[in-house]
Amino acid sequence: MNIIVCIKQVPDTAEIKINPETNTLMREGVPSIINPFDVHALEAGIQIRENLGGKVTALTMGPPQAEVALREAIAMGADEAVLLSDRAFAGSDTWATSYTLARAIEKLGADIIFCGKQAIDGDTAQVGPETAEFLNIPHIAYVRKIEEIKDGQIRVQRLMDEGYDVVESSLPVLLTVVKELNQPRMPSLKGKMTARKAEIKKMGMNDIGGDENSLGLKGSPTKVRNIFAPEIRAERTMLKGSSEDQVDNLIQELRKLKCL
Amino acid sequence: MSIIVRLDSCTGCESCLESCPFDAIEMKDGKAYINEYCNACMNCLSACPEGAIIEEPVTTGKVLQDVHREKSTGYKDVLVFAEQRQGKVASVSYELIGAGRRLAEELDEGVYAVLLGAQESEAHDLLKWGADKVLLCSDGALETFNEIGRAHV
Repeated sequence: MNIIVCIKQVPDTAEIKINPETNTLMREGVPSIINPFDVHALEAGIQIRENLGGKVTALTMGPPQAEVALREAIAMGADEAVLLSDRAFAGSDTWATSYTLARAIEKLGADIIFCGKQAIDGDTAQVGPETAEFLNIPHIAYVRKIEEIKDGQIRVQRLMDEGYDVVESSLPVLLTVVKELNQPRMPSLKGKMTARKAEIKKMGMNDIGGDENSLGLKGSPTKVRNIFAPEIRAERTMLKGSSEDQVDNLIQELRKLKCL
Repeated sequence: MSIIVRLDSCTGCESCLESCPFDAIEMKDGKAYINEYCNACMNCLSACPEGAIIEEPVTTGKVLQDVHREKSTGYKDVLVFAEQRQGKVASVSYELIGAGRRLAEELDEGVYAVLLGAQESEAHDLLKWGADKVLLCSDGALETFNEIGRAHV
């Protein structure tokens, strides 16, 4: 069973504080971590390898420092790690990122591809499904339990608002996972030692092929114009009096705000 | 907010270049400039020994000022995909029509909603909430949640 787990190195947003004077995010010196959902994805891949044999490859697209995240993945139990990095990939939105990941996955080959549900910095949840589309394979999002893998088919539970669906798919398939799926293991001491010495495979633009115009900023139909923390507005007015008074007051307030 | 280098404070020491994980800083004539690859991660702010890199608040202008310049793409109108569960339109879809209206007004175009797997009465509600036109496909096969089937339609 050839398993690829896509991971992303992200700032630890739990550590981010708001600067009380400027009301902006203070991101200096924030540690980098593997996106929490991707850790569950790694655990899922490793468990399947333990049950059915095969290989788990951790794959990340990012700047050179993302190598740190790959070594953490190896420490957890991934067999191999690939760093997809090239100046040509810079400025990629989710579309270009998914295209790039898909080209790399095609070169590496996979029966099951795991992704976290979403990244805690971008929060779009688009890359998993988009990558599956570029690969022209089925995908199932929000996987909360893997029921069975047998005879080239997989059956999972997909988390929905009011419960879950049971969904079956042929392989190869891409799955995005939620936290309910498993309890990720801590890296062992042996794992950390292996990770320190492991050779990280590097892939760049020339290794993945594909259309150069679909990469990086050029291949990104969306562009980030502005990033800001929303204004915290804590004003509120409590209307008092009888129902009629409150309604009259409310109408006045809404007129003042030009809503009526 | 955007991240900029105050050129009068920049000494050209290049400490910021190494700190940028997105290769978004370039040197020109001995000064640092931040290009479009910037993701506002702010690593460079603390890397600069002179404090020359700052975040500059941007006053919010019209959302679509650049779209007007690029209108020759041939695409028009705003399309809202209306979610439904067991035949009932999800309330988030009404909010999306509201947002779609605001964009459509700036573009001077229309808002259409597409609704799969529900009945005509639900489609009428979408018109009431501000859609100019609703594209309805009420085949029974589309009633249960199947994203691949809906995507094909």
